[in-house]
Amino acid sequence: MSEPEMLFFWITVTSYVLVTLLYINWITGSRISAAKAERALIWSGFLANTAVVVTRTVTSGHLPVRTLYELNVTVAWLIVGVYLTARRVYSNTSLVGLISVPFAFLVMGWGYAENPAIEPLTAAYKSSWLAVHVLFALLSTACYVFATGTSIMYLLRNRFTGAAGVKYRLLPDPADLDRISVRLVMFGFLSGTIMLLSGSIWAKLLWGSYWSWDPVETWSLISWLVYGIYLHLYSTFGWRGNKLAWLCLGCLATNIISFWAVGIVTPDTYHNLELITRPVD
Amino acid sequence: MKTGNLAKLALGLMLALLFGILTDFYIFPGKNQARLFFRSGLMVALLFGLAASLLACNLTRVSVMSRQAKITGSNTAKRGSVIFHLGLVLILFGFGISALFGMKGRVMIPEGVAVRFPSEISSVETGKLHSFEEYTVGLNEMELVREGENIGQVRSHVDFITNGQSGRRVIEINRPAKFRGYYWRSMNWGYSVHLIIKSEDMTVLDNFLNIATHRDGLYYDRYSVPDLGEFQVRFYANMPVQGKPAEKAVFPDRPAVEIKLLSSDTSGAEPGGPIIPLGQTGKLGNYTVSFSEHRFWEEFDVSSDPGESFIFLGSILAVAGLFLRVVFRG
Repeated sequence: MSEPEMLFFWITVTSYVLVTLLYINWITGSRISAAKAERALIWSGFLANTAVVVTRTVTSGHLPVRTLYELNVTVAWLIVGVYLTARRVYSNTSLVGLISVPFAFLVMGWGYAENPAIEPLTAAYKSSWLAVHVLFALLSTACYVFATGTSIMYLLRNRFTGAAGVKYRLLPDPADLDRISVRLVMFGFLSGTIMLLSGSIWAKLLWGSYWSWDPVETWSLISWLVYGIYLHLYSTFGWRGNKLAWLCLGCLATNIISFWAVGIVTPDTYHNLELITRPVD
Repeated sequence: MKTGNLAKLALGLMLALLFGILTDFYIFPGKNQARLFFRSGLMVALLFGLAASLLACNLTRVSVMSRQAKITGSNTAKRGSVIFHLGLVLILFGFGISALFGMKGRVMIPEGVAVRFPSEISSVETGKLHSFEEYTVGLNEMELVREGENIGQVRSHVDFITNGQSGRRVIEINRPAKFRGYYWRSMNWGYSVHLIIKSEDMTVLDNFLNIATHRDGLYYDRYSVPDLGEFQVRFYANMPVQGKPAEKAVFPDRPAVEIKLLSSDTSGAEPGGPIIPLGQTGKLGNYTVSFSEHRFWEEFDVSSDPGESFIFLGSILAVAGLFLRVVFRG
């Protein structure tokens, strides 16, 4: 890890932690205070996160998608990027940052604690499909995190009414939160579809088979199917409100399992790319 | 059947697929090698049912949309949804075509050796309607491209010979070669060593031995020769002039082999086998062992995938359809 990268990394984490404290202050104080400071903090954090991704790319000579640290730094950048974009498009959604921003700095910290050292690219990684597959996987996770944040806000807003719910008046109407959540799931589903298809094409080039029922592959398919069912339940079966919001939370759990947990509990997966260069035995 | 019922059927099939996958993975652990569910007729029936219900849903939706379009105008988001589902049907159709007309197999070829295709292919799985093209394939040369201490690429120069004509192709990891409808992919590689083992009055072995590569990055294998019994050969890619050999070195800078006779009672290797550098001779009990030459062997995955164009077209349609569905509001 180079010195500039280390500096940008800590600027990012500090900014994200401070802005999270501000969001907590907003929700507990039921009013938006220090809005300019919030904008300065979130944007400085995001720009520093961008700088981490760029410096890592330059120093390692490849896209930061090789190690857990690199994946987590990149997904954090996309999570906050999606959050900043979405709150410009959908008004009064700044408080969703209470979910997105801590998610981002927690995964960054986890990646850093794991191992921030640069690893060389093995031959298996040398494919143009790598960028498409991994970046869309990360983008889908970023969209799903925002959708889940919106669903959580929906549940809070719906749960607390009257005096107890005054602190959630900063949020859009529940019906709007529902709609925003579905919209972000749709973007995530599009990215997830590109991730699955590009991964299959890459797998065909690398292993000779589109699909091998590898644990990570299988969980990616499970996650994709679960989000597909979510969208069907919304558009065809008219699911709205609490049950859709709870389902959105469950869907994110499958995404987290496929993205992080499976690779850890089953190190024998093909997605442990140490083994890909020579998938022996 | 009404649209609502078709949608319920599609949802039911999606749930069945989901629970089938989860059941196979977690309720029947230990059967992952066989992957009973994934290769079963039930899975085929489920995927076929899913494709049929998607198609039926799509046809119904198109008919409703065309009626509505006359009144309210066209709806791009709904069209996107139809295109997406049509893409999924095409992908499943492509898989079906490949399963019926395609094949998959593996072959190990040492450097300088040619094999007949398909008679010398191992672990072949062929579709019921597949018919083979016959030709000869030879591995002319394999090289490890060095990037610092790591392997940057594994490059093979492969000759495809048919009707007396020969054409050379280069195969790399992530870059398979296609010949007469068959993809040839580099899957694994290892070392082959030429050993001459002699007793006082006869030559016991004078041949190349292909040594297996293991996941831990070590190269060793067991062999059996009538006059010698069972023995283990281990290949070291880099044997320093002094000291112990580098265990997991990959580049053959100073190759050496270690030979151990295996005791029959424990079937374990006896300690203290000789380590013989390239071009030298060592003693193994009453035998002399010469390590005269080494070369690479490579394992190739060979497959034919006639449904490929449907899968690619389906993928493009699925992504394009979803894009329309997401960008344009319904």
